[in-house]
Amino acid sequence: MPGTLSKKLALTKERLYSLVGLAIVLALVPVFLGFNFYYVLLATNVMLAASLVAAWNIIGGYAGQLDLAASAYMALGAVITGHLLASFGLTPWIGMFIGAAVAVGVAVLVGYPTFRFGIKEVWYALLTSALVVIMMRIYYLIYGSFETYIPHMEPEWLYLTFRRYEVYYYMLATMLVIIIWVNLKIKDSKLGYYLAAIREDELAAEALGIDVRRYKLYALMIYAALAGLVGGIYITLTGILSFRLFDPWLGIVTAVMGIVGGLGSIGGAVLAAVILRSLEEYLRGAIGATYPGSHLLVYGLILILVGVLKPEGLASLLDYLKKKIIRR
Amino acid sequence: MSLLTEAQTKTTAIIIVAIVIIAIIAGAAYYLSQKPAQTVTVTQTQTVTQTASPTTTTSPTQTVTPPKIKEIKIGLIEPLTGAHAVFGQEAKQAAELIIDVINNELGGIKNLGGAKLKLVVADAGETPEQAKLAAEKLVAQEHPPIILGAYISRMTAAVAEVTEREKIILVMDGLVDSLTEQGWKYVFRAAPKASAHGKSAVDFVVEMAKKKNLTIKKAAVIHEDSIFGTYVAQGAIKELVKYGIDYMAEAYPYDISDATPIVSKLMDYNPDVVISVPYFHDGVLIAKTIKEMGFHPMFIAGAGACGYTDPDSIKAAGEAVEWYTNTYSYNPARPTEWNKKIVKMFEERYGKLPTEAAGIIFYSLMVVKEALEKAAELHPEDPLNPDNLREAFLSLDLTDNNSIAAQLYPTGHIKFAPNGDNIYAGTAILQVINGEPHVVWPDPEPGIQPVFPRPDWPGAKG
Repeated sequence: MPGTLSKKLALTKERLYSLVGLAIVLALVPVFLGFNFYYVLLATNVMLAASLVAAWNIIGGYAGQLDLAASAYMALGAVITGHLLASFGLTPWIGMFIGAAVAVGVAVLVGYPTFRFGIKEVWYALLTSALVVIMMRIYYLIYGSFETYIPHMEPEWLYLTFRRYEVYYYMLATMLVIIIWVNLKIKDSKLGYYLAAIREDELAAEALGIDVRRYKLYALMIYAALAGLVGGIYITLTGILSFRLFDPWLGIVTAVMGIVGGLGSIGGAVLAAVILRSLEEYLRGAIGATYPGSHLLVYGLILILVGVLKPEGLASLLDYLKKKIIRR
Repeated sequence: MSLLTEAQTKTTAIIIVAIVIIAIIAGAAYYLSQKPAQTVTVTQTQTVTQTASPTTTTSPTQTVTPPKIKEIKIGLIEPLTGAHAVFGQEAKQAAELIIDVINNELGGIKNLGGAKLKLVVADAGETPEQAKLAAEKLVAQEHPPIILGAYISRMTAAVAEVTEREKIILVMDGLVDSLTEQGWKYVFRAAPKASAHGKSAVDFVVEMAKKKNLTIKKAAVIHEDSIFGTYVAQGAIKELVKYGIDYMAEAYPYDISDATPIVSKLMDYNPDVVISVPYFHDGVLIAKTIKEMGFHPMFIAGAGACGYTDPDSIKAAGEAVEWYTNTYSYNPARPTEWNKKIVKMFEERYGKLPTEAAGIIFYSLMVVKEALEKAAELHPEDPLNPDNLREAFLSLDLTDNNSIAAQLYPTGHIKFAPNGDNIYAGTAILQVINGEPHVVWPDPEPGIQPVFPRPDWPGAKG
């Protein structure tokens, strides 16, 4: 018994150190980028993708549900924060939590009947991808095709309307660290073990007496809340509200990044998001203007290569590297 | 067990420390980064000093008087990939052509000693974030004093946020009205805005009716419900109200698969004229349904430069779109010397007729040239200073006689209002006559007369 305990402690410590290390590295990124507008904005976009994928990892990785509605919850957080700011001058510091709360509410509304009637696998994927479109339509019915631009407001710290990107970067980086921490917490908790059991074999888990519905719903709610918060920060960055925020493609891309990273591996998921998002933008900037569309081709090829060579995702690569380092 | 709980408490504590570290570094970094950015913040306000202007990378010798500018970078941010790539690609082709014409045929910017223009292009992608990244990249790497773009309204808005901060002139080819209503200082738009398209369609119909001694009592406005279509329709409605014409308006999604309900509504209302703002396929559908259901109003006028009169729509709808019209931001058939020349060059180089996206770039880029000439004249000491450039744009009054830009413009007159819109904005109207699109208004093609009212209107025989 003491053996397992100390082993567990060591694991926690190891994780902790990597988390602190990650925080320090993330904090120093803009410094190394020389506070260049373009690179910091790019890093901010990468943080955005990474946060979303890390949040997705809870439902997709741990609970094993192929959820394609990441953009629905994110956009929900975004439009609520954005409209509260644009129409009522409510600070996003409060708005994003209201947005997250609403996202959780929608998640419960959708998740409860979904899990109650045992919708899973492809059917769950179809349902969630439809959710994005339905939310888009609802927004369209209310606001039509009009775009709302959030103006520059003073004081900047209150309304988060900065002209530079560093603050957004740090907010999203902090968000990423928090989401990763939540991920690790869940993994170590009762919820995490239950989710792992559900992911491996839902019927067996149910037979063992796990309340499958309830724990899946918990995972969905946490994921929706985190995605909603990310959306709230995101809208202060772009400042353009339109129905196009409910982007079905983004929901799919988020899941793809999570899968490429390796299901259930938070490190792999974040790594995949960072690599794929940077790569996409680099390719678009480097060759997108000269040979239009070629960057998508290269991007697709890389995805296929990962799928063929490392079907278990980048996580296996991480494990391999870790073993090498430890052996040394 | 208590050991584990203790460890967990420790975990939490260290996490908090990590976040605090991030926050502290963030704060410090932000503070540090604010210092060099101070000039930017200052120049956002109205008080601008010469020294505060960002020196462009193109001209390191700029501060030396007299300035020797050999090359001026002109940025172009267009959707070269994704759903809107068709427009962006054509705009890029047009820009390359006009830059060649300015550099080779016109000898560069004469008032700047024949300085050449250099086009630097970035791909705006499909979303505002991608457009913003493209703008930041272009600004960081090239810092052109003038940028053109980005066709789609939300992407143009994203680019404008960057250009406003950097005090770069943005010549917009996005047509949605709200783009010039954001209080942005360094934006200009020569092209007619969306509502001007709707207004033109109504003006044309009213003018024609007057000519033929017909009165229009009732009009119907049907439009696809995108932001662009809605603004076009609003422009038309405003003009109808001005003329005291009763109207009904109906919006529909552009991807409808059945136009019968819309046409039924039209027939119930029985208007004299129909103003229709289609996208593409919906226009084909509406025209065919109107023909099938035997609806014969006095006239059906399109607005908004999409559908009805383009070759693809004529091919798809056949006889159904005969006598339909549509409004365009550019008139490829305008019989001025330079317009003929540019259209011919474009056709020779790319093997196709220039349409909307290319046309807007034609005159927008020529306006840029005129503005640079003017800036060099007004402020020879620092022509590329953003405020001097802005002053030059505002002091332009271009007509057919004094500029190439106006010769390429439908109304032949360009003068900017303080918000950046062209005071003399207007569109050209094309009509399908015998299955061919012809320019009928304001300057009809030689030998072409607009067909008005529709010959199948019951009142036309009398």
